[in-house]
Amino acid sequence: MTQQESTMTPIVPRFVVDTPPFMHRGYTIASMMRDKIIALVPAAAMAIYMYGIPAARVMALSAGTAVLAEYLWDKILGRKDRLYDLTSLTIGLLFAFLLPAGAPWWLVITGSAFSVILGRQVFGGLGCNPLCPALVGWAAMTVAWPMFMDPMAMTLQTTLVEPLQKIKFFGYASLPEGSELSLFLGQQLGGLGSSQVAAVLLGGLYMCVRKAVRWEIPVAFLASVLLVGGIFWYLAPQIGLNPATTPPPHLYLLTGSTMFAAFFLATDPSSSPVALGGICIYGLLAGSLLVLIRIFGIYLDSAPFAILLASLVTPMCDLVRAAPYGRRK
Amino acid sequence: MDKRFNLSPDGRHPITVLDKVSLVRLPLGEHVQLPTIKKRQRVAGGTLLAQHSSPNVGDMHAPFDGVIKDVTATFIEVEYEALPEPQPPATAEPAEGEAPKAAKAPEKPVEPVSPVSFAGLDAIALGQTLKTLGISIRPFTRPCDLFIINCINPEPGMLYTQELLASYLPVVEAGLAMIQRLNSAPRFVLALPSGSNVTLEGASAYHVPAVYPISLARPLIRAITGNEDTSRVTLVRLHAVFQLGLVAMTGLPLTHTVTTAFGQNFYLPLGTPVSTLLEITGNTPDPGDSVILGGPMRGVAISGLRRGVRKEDDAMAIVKQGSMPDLEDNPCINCGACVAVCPMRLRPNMLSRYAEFHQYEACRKEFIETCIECGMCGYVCPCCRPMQQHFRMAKNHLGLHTFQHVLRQSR
Ligand code: SF4
Ligand code: SF4
Repeated sequence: MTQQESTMTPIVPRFVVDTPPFMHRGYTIASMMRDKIIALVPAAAMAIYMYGIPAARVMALSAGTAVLAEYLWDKILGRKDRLYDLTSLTIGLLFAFLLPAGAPWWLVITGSAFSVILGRQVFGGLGCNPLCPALVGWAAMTVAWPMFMDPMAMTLQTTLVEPLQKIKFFGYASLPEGSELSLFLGQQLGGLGSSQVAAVLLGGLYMCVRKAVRWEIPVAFLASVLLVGGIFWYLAPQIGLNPATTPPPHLYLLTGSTMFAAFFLATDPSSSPVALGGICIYGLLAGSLLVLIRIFGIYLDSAPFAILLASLVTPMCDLVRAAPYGRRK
Repeated sequence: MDKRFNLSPDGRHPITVLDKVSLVRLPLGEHVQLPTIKKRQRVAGGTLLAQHSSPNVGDMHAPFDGVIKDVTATFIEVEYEALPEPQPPATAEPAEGEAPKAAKAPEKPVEPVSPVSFAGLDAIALGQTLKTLGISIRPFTRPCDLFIINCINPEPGMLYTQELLASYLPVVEAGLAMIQRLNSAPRFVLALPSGSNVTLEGASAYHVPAVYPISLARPLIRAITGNEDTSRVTLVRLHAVFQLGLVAMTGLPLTHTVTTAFGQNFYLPLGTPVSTLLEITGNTPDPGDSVILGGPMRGVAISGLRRGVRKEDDAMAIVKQGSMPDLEDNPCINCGACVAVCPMRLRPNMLSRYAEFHQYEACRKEFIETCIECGMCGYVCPCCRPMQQHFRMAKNHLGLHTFQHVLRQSR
């Protein structure tokens, strides 16, 4: 019978019947994350150059913990893990970049696991996070152990300056002469990767070119920082601010993690708006918050908080949309 | 933009005339075969085989002289066989009453189909005649202020439009002349890829950069008219005008078409099986590949190679396994890539999410009926989400026509 059947059934190849399109740009989540990781390399190299092995240790620990946390979470819940698309590795690295090089191991592990699990997995995993996961971990750690998250306290015996503190308490004139260039090159105390302004900018531009992120977001955010910072700088005497502690706008970009936030945190796809109108509002909001917190707030580096708060209104920003074809008034 | 979206490929791609096809399989679709059509019956090329109930959709004819090999619910199979030489009337036949008649009955001579004259017909009668000759006349008769003939290859990988304009211009001219009898539009425009120097009497040329999705109706109308009101604009593809031209020139039913099959252009009988074209072009799909009818952005994957070419099939191609990332049931990460490319300014991210979670009414609020299923969103989605699948499902639930319905009805 089987003999008969096999002779009766012609051998036909089995084709895949899928839905169109049958072409793809070829750029997947894994490619996107690979590009993000490549973009992080210059800043990571600079961090190791500046802080040595401790910086490498924090990055490795954080990345490893993030991957393990995702794996275990999916295992426990019986879900198929998606480690192959490198998203948790990216979250771990981003979190590490915000830490001081001397962060204790337990802080790194807790924060990194927190970022992945509370920042993303509890909301349903990939694509479901309402906030940038690394920032959730960062915020939790900052609130829980502010001492250990403070680069000033965690990096002893250094010649580096903490520019934000100088600006806030001694006025921007107290920064050494010609310090813009050294700030740009990362000669400042801050998160181990996030304060490498030039290296971060390089990586950020790479991501924009590769379309790993929407270039409109960093542009909108940085332009807003310059704009709002400029307004305050210009108006400081009139509105009763101390002109000495109200820096000129470009110093906002060169200090703290502003640049890092613009390219790596604000661009987290799930927690940022999709269309141009929304992106402009989001950028303006995050930029204003950054300047306001730096001038009036108690936190020195306000960039992460600014992004975190702006992400909360992302759903509102997404309500701004272009009228579809044929419906323009 | 992506080089793959260039619709105006360089070089010549001559149209090979396939006259040695010996077996065709005509897919019936919504056509109903004539009760008189039986297995083993002899037919002449152009014999009416099946009719469509809509006055707008063309009927179906035998592409060449032959014998009906098979008639099923889904297709009619015709095998080529030259018509027997008309026998001289049997004069030497003895007048023996029944005997000659019985011998003659199975060999009832098959008359070749004779051409129809279009002279003196008014638009309505002309439309009715053309329908019986296999032309779907609706797009041609639609009242409008502007009539556009889209001479841009509809999708990437298609190569035939520039060849039709280069080698078959008289046919296209005849098609245009016929349209002008059917349609009283005050303006006729040829939409050509930039760089083309084709001109046609009776229509002004308009050049656009030939980059997908400009070749689709609504983006092209926007490019030409500068606004998005499509109610008084009719757009037809060059492919359809060419078919109309074939009928207009000969007065015979539509039996042949042009298609870009596996990278080459062919002029072939309707119903030519995909397998025949694979053989001719020397292609063999491997298990795991997809064979698609139509273009790579909006085409249909077929499950068997016996399928015959329909009037609207202007291309077919093999998609190799692994040439693109597999579609996956991934969540949307809200990256916005699809929003940036959608030519209809929709939000495919929201549309596909609503459809995914069966929120069909929300899809309607997101203007799903505006989606032209161009495939751009699926092309860029880094999560490889099955976008069109979601949209078609939602449209079906909402009772909206999908691209496939529209295609079927407009032909
Ligand atoms: S298929 Fe996608 S890109 Fe094309 S019109 Fe529809 S939603 Fe827009
Ligand atoms: S391209 Fe895909 S992942 Fe990105 S927003 Fe659109 S549907 Fe979501």
